[in-house]
Amino acid sequence: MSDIAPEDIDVTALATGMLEDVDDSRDEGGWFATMPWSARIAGGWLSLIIFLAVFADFLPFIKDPNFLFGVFEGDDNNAGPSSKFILGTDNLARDIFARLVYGARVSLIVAATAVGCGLIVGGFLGSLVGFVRGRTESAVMAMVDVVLAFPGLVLLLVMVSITEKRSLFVISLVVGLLSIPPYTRVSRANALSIANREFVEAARAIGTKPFRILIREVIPNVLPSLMAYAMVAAAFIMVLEGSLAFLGLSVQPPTPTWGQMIFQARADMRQAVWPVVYPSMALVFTVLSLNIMGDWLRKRNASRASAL
Amino acid sequence: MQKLIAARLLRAVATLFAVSVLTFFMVDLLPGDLGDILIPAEQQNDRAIVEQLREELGLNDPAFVRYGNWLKDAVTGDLGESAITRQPVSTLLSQRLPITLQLTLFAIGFALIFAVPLGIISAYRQGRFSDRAISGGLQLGLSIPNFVVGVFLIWFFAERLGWLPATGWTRLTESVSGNVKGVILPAVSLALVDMAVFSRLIRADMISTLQENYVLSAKAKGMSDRFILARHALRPSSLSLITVVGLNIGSLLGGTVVIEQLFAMGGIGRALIDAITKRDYVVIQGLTVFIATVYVFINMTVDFIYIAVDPRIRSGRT
Repeated sequence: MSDIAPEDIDVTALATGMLEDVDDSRDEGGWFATMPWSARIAGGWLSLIIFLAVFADFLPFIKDPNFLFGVFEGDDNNAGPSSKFILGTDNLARDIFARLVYGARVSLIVAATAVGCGLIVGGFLGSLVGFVRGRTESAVMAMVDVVLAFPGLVLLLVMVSITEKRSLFVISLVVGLLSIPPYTRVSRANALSIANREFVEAARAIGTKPFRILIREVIPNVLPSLMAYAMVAAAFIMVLEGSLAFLGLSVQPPTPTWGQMIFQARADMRQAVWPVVYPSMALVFTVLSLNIMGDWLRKRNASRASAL
Repeated sequence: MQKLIAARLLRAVATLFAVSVLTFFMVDLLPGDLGDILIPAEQQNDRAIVEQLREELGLNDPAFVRYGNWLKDAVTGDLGESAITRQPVSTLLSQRLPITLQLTLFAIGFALIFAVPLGIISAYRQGRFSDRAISGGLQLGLSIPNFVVGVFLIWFFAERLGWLPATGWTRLTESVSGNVKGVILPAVSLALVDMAVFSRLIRADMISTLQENYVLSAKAKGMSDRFILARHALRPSSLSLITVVGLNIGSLLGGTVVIEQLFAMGGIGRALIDAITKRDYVVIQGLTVFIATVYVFINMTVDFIYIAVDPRIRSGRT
């Protein structure tokens, strides 16, 4: 197997530095019972922000994120927490909590689009070429190599600047497109090893059609490790969107995003630190939760694979 | 082995060619072109002059002809000149690259200084309290975006304590201490994530190395744990570290954009942002191709190191 190059080593493991740290606990009592407490908290946090972001418009305690309370109701800007504003107000006397919730929307939509495009298009493409090999594989992987030859942020910057209007749709689309190549690479590497397994051979031997083997045998076995990668990749995308917002190149104001909130509140940081701290914490907790979930899924997969 | 290296070189050249095509046509898609910038506003209304100038600039040629001309110059190191400042892109690069390079090397350096001991300690104390504490801390460090670190470092060390400058970059020739002081905060901001990644890699590799027989025999000979860790276990455990350090140097060269902007350092990333906001097409093309080229070369070098270090790949027995 001299055609497996060094880059086929586990990309998720390298990106986060986790190598072969197998979880010894076997699957006894279902997935939740074996879930470590860190993954439970991470899952809880992710569920909470997803819930808030999805139902923000219908929840009565979430105010309008762009309402200028200073102008219309005489509230102070950069005020500390109060019964009216649980996290205080920002430099334009807007409700920080409401802006955090609506900002989560942007991060989550961008990350979800990236994961969706990556899993569906990249996951399928990678499994396909890892299974059929030959010219198709060389051609697809050559294209993947070209896109991955650019540092992610640079390509994202140039592509975002092509578009005149930086709406949520455009940003998600660009991020989604850029997500396809890395997922293709990861799923191909996994499909390569699965295509050599006994059960695939057995399926071939009894005359199963290749496409059916791909759908029934290869993809279901590629998916678990791809999901672990998706978590880490989603964390990466969130940071990327935050960076873009911080540079003023993400979704345009007044739509709040976490990165943009940090950037705006920074100007008044001498007077008020908390308006910077809250969005930073939201971003860090979310990225941390995704990384924890990714690590947990990886360990789970590794212990399941070793049990086979 | 020669065959392997030749194949890898060929692939790098092919990738570079494709990278240049992609960059050129991507920037070509940007709204407007050089003509809008180069032709003075008072002449923009005069159709005849505009057409004549466009013809002279070669803007009316088909895209692939323009690409051919651009590539021909680019291969000789001439990446064109900025439409706004009239400065050649190569000059811009030679001015800006040292800043980004220094920042990158300091960041990687800081990351390694902390990552190696932390990784060794957690491998040695695997599963114990110190390992758990370090792993938890690294998990958190991995999740803090560099610009968030930067914002709080500026707030604390520059604004509250006033120990280090918040912005700017001093030339090494002007003041050595000023230069180093200016690079500490941005480099630390960049280093945190890399430190976590490096350290976790060292830990994982070290744990498997410590189970090798030669470590046991060294122990049997009565060598101290400290000596075994430093002399016998560290080197064989650094293979994946080399890969990742290499790859991260490459991605940092393009990934310092946000930090350079935050700390107002005029490196390559800042130049790229400036070019993008001013729609300076030639500069965007030049910088993007340069960054990607460096990236491709570093990736290739890392593969070569792999070939040189790992005897299994060297003899084609992977």
